[in-house]
Amino acid sequence: MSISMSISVWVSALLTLAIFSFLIKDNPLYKIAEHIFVGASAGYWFVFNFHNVLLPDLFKPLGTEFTSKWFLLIPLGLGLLMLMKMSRQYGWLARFPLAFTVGIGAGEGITSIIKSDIISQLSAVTFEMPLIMLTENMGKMQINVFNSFSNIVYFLAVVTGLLYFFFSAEHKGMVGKTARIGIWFLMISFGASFGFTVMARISLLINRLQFLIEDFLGIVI
Amino acid sequence: MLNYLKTLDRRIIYLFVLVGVILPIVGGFLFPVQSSPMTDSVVKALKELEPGSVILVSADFDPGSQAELQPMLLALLKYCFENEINVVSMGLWPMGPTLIDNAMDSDKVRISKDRAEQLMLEGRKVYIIPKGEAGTEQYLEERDGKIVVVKETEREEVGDLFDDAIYYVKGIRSLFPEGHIKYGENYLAAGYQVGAGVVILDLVASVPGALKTDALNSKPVESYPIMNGIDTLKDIDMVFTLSSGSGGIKEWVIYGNGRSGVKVCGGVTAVSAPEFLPYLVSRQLAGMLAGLAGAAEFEAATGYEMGEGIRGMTPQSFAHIIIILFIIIGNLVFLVEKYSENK
Repeated sequence: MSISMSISVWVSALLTLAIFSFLIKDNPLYKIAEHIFVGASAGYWFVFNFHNVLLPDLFKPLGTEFTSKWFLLIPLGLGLLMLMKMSRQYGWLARFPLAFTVGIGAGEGITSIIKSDIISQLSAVTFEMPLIMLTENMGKMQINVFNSFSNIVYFLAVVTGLLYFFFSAEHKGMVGKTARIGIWFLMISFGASFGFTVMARISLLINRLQFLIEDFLGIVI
Repeated sequence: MLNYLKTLDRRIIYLFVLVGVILPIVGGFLFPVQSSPMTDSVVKALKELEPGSVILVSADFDPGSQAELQPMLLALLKYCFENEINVVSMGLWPMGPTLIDNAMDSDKVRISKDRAEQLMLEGRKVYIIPKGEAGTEQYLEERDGKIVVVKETEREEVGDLFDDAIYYVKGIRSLFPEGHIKYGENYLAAGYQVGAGVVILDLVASVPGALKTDALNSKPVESYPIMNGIDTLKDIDMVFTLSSGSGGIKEWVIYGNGRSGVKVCGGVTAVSAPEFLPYLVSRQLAGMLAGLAGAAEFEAATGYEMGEGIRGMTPQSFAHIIIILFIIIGNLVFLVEKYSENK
């Protein structure tokens, strides 16, 4: 074991341990680390965006090529109006840039999202997932049992899941029973999501512990 | 006993998970990693690219997700440069391009002892961590036919390379001979692109018009040979996004694939993976790597056995076993309690 002599490694390690201390209970060390993180992030983002976005894309062109880039005054004006949100008297002015942003977002997004999230998905389930899949084996067509089963499950999950969110008919009798199957599929998907979430959080823990053990404490395996 | 288990302090569970993660790291155990169909689809899509193809790598994440996404990025860049696939990099997140720069030039890329020896003889700078001496940076040098370990200012001569040491180079670039990755020809850094979906729509209309200048020299991107024949996003052979939120993989699928039909592959954090699985079924996504497991599988499938993903999978498996055991115990306690109440 040889503890690192690097100041940056020490700062990282101490902040990591301070954040981990929350697992025992809330404490001032955790609060300090949390505030440092929030403050440093906000400061970093402001400086980064000023130097990489506002300066090269707005202020410099306005200063050097005003005759050809005068139209940049429009986003500058909208941006300044957004800051009016901080004033009680003129806060309403911030609605104009917000309306502009929401309008652009909706106009750009609606057709694309309908295509990618509805039409393409429906098309995939309807045309690209046959319930009986055939594969060729030594010149003979055979049923691909695994893929057929998986397509049938997928089809059932889509139909029953959609039926669960169909509120124009009371969930009784056949409709109720089918919707109940939909709930089961939903529960299974929530379980899968939870599993993925656990995996993600453990990955973060592993990364931090590898840093503490290898880079900070200098224990080499 | 039942009551104790029912009111078990959560910190005891944390302690078990902590020990479960630390043990395999310290013990250095490695479980074998096998590729899943999801990862196979990424490998298949990459293998369809011919030498000289251009891939747009978009780093749409920040350091908070680098535990999962950085190993994917390293393995992807290594694969691309090994197979002569040209890379244009950019990021929809401010920190993304910096993380690509790190992957190219400063991240630790572990290599085997044999590869270390080979790279050192080719004149690459190879670093070493002898057992128990990780705290200080040391690197290898060949002097008068002897291998010398250089430790800060003092020079300590050793007869041969250590078997039980860790060898690494800094950045993917160091794995290749000088001149293998020519800036502007094999690799171009376009930097941070502000606007997420809007940027992708701009790329659909015109790649040089959207990217404008490169991040290194601030020259128009169309002045570099790598951009020859690239006008719209359709002319790019593949978009590979490393994504941990919005804008990221969803925007690339909706606007990139949806508007131009460009092939999109992605690496995502495990938390967000289930949301994008339907895009795989509909083939709007050509392939997806999910979380650290996806990174490990990709490393294994592309022959990068020393990758960070593979190293992380053993502690991951230990932690999962512990969590599963606690879930089983919790359910048993619930069932036993219910049974005793009914009695």
